[in-house]
Amino acid sequence: MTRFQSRTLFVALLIAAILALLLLNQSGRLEGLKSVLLTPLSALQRGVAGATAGLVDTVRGSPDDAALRQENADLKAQVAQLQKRIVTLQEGQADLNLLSGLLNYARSSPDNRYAAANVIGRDSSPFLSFIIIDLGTDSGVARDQPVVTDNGLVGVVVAVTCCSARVRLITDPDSAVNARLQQSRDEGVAVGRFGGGLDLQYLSQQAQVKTGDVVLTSGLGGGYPEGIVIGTVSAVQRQSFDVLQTTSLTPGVDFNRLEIVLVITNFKPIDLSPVLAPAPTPAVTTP
Amino acid sequence: MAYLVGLPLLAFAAVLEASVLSQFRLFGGTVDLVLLLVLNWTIVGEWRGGAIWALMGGLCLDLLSGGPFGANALGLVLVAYGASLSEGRFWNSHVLLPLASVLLGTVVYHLVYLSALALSGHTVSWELSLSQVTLPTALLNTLLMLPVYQFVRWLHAVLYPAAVRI
Repeated sequence: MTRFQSRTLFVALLIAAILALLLLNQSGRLEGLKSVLLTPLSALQRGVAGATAGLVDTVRGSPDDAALRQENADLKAQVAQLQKRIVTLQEGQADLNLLSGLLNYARSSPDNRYAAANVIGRDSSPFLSFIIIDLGTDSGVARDQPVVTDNGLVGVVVAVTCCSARVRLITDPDSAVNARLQQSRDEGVAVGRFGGGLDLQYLSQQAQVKTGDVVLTSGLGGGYPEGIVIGTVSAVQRQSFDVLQTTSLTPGVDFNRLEIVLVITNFKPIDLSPVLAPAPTPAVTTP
Repeated sequence: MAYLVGLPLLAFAAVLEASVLSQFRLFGGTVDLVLLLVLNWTIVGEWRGGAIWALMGGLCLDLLSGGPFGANALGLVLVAYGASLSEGRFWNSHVLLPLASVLLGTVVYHLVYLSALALSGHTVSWELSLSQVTLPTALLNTLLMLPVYQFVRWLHAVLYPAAVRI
């Protein structure tokens, strides 16, 4: 066997193994194994996310960076200790602001039970819009629970391990949320758009919609609670020849700066499949 | 030995990709650190190791992704195989060859991944994906190719020191 042949055979075996994994995963038989393997990776991810949080803020440029840099230049080494303290306090203040916003939001809906979770990662693929949070089944998080912030709807839990969960953002192209215009009460579906945007689809031509209108979850379908902010209308594209109209939305949540989110842990999604299943055909009786 | 070092290195690279690098985007593109490590390990002459690294790194990425499990591994193994078809010395003959390989490797990797997404029922916007994610990612990967190449060459020299004739 030539070197080329042995190489090709080896890679073919690897590909066959991967295809087997793909098929097993599609049938849902790998969930247990994935959960076990994901646990140490999640722990590593939590450590990396914690260690690099300051670095990310620094590189991205927070509003206070320029002032901090100026101060650093003026006071040099003598102020280094103070600077470190300032950064720590600012991080604490930022966390406090976030948490008090979330607390106010939680108080506004006392019927819901919330679990606050840190965002520890994003999907490793740039083609998908998911985040990883640091709470899992141990904290009462389960599949299909909605995830929110004080600014609005974030998404829904789609996979859980003991101590982490994957959340599909509403901007993922596979996400669809039944929505309602707050003012006109017209209903549509907020669908994720590739690149992080949102569209409000299936709005009737008669719907009165204008830029700036607030869009909320409608609660239809039972997948999300009613009345959570999804976003605001940013552009209306009404074509007279279309049966339905589509509008662009600006999400209420800034998905690039998500740090802490709330999972609604007592929400029970309603399974409508038995209701939506076709009615059984009546048995034909012969006289 | 390469596998013992490779697994934690690739797991760490996958976590870095998901936690840190994913926050620094050029349009929709981010750096594919695992792809760079796999490609470079293959290029320095470890074709079998490159394929195994591709499998390990790909599965780590798949665990951290909501996409079909195995899709990243499939794309990376195919890229490693393609890169292994030329021998190690070929890549040293011109500095542009590793750079060209990463451009091509990124496109192949993303095409395989997008195909797996589409086949498993995800919504895929091919035109936007290729223009807003793949092209910027290829550019970012090309910028980082040489530093990663140097690191991998150093790692290879540490793990497999050249025999000295006394």
